Amino acid sequence: MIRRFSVGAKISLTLAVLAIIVGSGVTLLQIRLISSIEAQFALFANNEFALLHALDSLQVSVLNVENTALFPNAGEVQMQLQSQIAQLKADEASYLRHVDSTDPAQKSAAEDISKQVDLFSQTALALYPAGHPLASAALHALEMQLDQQHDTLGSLIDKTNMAIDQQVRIKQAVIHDSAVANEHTTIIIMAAAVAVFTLGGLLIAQVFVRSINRLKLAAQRVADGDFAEVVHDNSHDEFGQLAKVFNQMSARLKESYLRLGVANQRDKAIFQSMGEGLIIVDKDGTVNLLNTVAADFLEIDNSEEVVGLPFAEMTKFYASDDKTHEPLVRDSLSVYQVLASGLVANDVYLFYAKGDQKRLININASPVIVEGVTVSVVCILRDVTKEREVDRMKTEFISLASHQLRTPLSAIKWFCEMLLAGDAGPLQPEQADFAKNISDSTERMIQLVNALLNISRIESGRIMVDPKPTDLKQLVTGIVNDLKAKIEERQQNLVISVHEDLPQINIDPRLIGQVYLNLLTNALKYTPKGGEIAVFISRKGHDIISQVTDNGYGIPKSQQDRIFQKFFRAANAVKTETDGTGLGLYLIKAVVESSGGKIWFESEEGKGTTFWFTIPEKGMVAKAGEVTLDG
Amino acid sequence: MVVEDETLLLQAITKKLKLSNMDVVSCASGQQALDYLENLDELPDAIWLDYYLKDMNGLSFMQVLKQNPAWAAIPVLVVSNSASPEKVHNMLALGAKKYILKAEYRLDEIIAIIDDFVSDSATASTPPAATATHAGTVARTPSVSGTDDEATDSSNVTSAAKPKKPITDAADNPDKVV
Repeated sequence: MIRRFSVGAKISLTLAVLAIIVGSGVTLLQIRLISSIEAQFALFANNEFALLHALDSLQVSVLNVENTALFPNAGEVQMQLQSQIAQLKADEASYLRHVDSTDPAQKSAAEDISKQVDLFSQTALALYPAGHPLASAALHALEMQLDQQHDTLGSLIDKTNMAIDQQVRIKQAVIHDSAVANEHTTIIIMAAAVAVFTLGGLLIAQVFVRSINRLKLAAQRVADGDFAEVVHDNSHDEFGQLAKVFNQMSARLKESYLRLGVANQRDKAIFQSMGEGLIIVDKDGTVNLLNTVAADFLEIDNSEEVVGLPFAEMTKFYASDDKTHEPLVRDSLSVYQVLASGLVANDVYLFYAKGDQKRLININASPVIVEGVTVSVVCILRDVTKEREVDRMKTEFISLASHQLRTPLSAIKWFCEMLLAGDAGPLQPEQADFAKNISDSTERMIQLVNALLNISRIESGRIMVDPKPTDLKQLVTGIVNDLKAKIEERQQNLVISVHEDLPQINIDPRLIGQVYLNLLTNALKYTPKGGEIAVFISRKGHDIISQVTDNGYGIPKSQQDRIFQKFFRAANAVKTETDGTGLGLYLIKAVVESSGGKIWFESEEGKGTTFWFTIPEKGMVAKAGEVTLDG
Repeated sequence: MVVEDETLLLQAITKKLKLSNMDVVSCASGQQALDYLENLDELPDAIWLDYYLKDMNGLSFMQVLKQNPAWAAIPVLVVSNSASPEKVHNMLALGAKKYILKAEYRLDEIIAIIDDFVSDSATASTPPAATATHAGTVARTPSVSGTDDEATDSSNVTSAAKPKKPITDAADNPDKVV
């Protein structure tokens, strides 16, 4: 609860508690003072009471002496009288002992009493000299004298008694007054302490709160973007230091703010002047920013109008091969997939521009990830209509040219075949040799044309993917059987090892078969006679991993990074095997990657080569297409 | 019967078929082939059909062929330099026996395929009426086809070759009319 109090209240409260503690201390001191006064009084009273008591005893002894003198029993009167007088003297001595000699009143009273006691006891003894009473007349006179002396002594004692009593009362009253005065002082001190401390607290708090308020107001202005505010506090205390730090912070903030402003303007300039379209989408899928190029691509007249709209509602996108003329729904747009997955996506969409003109737009969507969360997506838009058209024309040209080449190649192939078969008469050995050379070259050219066609098919994306559950062991065994003649001719040793629990996987056997075929053909071609070739197929995580290993010529280190390039053949491969297009690895890399897999290798010249490739366990995705690899 | 508009290819295949003891009717266009079929005394045992012809494509040729019950049973080997799945599928659906890529086959391999066709149709248990009507006559009667305007361009190619001897049993006799 205290935490909710203001600083002022806290300070006041603290001081009030302090005041109570100080007051309590004062009270305790006062109480001890009173106790000591009381103790002194008790000591004093003790003495006075003893004095009074001694006076009483003296009084009784006087009476006893008089009674014995005036009303004697028979016999030893003098003896009795002497004993009584001895008692009187003892009591006198006791009284004198208790007299406070420093008190003049007591001292003079004691002297008076002592004189009177002497007189009295002499008179009493004079009554019975030698144990016999005097003659009655003398006796009577003495008795009168004694009685008078007794009265005087009695009144003296009474007076002294009363005087002492009076003294005691006065002292008591003084002590009482001082106790009462003490009590009042305590209350006043307490009240004063509480008041002073509370007021002090309020004052201190006022000072603190004023400094804090000044800082608070300054902070508020800075928060509102007014960096001109400076807190003036030159004190050396914590507030002064705080103000200094605050001013530094404010200055830094101002600097950063300016820098950000510059960066922001620069970014804006980049956004607007870049050649690509740019759309920034927030984490909830709404458009945050759209540059003029993007607005032009999508024919949006006022880009401000689409800011804040969901990306899917900004405009209509269609599949790049749109047939249904149905716009794509939210979930099939890559932007939303990127928001969900945090992975970069690159897709081409169709957009119908004015007059139903088709425009192909490539959208590269990249996530902006902050602390593991996708907070935004940056989309770069490119009009790829022309690019795609040129690409299509190039592919079409290659396809057409290749098909056209097949006709003359068939004619050469067949006429050569007939020549070599002796259909036009027997050939001289050299003629046969030449014809064989023509035939071999034709075969190479046919392979080249086939490879070119396959590449144009892969590149055009027209290739059909027709996955069916496939037993990889069967697939590879079939391919190896087709290669049997070659293996035997080259006296190679080929081992196939397939993991026992490998399930059937959903792949296009023609495409994946081509991968195994190419890798195996390469292994056979580039391994010397009697070499070892092995195929291993196993599972690794969610992938099926295939390995083709040979102990052949290997790939030179310097050329390894070019091995998947179109038409590239390693120097040692060209030397040992003239036959080859340099297109095989390029082709199978395209196949493997389009199946969601990876392909890589390790090789050492003179020791051999191992190729690995993976296919996702879930298999390939079916795709309708116009062509297959061997058409 | 060979339907091939590429003169050199037509020449090569005709020569090879003849060397393999077959009678050959060589046609340089689709229309010429259809005319021959109309006029020949005897129908061929098999047809070599190029998919791309100058005057029509393989599809329309097959359609005409299949409309005539007498021609429908003749086994057709489609030979092309393009074998897209769609074309292959369409041709096989129309009744072609096989679809091959020209450059991928040696002539002697193609001859073997045709040989198979002919022996298959000869030994087939004659289900369609068309085959029943001329199964015997085709094999037995060597036919000489007439000469056509287009065929005369390359006289040695377009002439129909005569079998060396009458065929009595197609299964073990190499002589056929193609």
